[in-house]
Amino acid sequence: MTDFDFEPLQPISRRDLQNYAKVSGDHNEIHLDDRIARAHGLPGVIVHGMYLAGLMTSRAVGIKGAGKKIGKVKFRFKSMTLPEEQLLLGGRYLVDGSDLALEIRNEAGEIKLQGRFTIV
Amino acid sequence: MTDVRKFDVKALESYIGLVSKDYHYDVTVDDVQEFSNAVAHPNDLLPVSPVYFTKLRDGEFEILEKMGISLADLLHGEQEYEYFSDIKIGVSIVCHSRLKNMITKKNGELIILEVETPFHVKDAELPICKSLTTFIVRNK
Repeated sequence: MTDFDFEPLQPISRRDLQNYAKVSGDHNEIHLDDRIARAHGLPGVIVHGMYLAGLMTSRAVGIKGAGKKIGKVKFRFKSMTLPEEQLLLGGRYLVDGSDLALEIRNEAGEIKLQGRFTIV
Repeated sequence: MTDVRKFDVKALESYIGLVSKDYHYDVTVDDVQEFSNAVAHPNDLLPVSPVYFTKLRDGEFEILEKMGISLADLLHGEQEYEYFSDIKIGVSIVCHSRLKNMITKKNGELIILEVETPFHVKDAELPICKSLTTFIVRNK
């Protein structure tokens, strides 16, 4: 069951990656330089996992309910994300009715990130 | 044929328990806003993102550097945060990281590192947040 329909995220551009590197302090060059990314066996630059985690957390903050807080969160980075990939974010409440399980996937259904949010 | 490995697993294991020095960060309005702007959904109001702590990773980077592991050798496997109180603009955060554990998978092809970091407001005894970062090192 999906409590939160999967909705498109704004595609992430290379300029977005440069901005995220600047504001997060994560200057790992596999996110910024195609040549270095390829030298490490990647198809090209990939999106920072924590960038996706930040986008997912923003959504969790928006749907957790007024007066509630995120007490704990666990992210699992499942596969690499390329710039401009079309991403979808959605998920569901867990059995206790407040904790959240969210997921980012691409249009082909490949899971990129899973996040489990404990709401207190 | 014996696989050639980039890293000596036994040598890396000797770093388990390694603790970084303390790092200090001022949580400023500008830093908070530019981070939140980068990760906010247009419909969401987000004063201080719960993942703001990802900006405070110098302890992790110090440990990796001492182990001789470059950022480009890494993938981020998992990330946990546990929150004990709110992070507020204007506070100074002190943290250090510790290499909690290391295991290998796929006959040494992958090295899994767990690094934990408690974040304290300066001079406070109890942390406001603890993080556990799982890195995957490609050892080939």
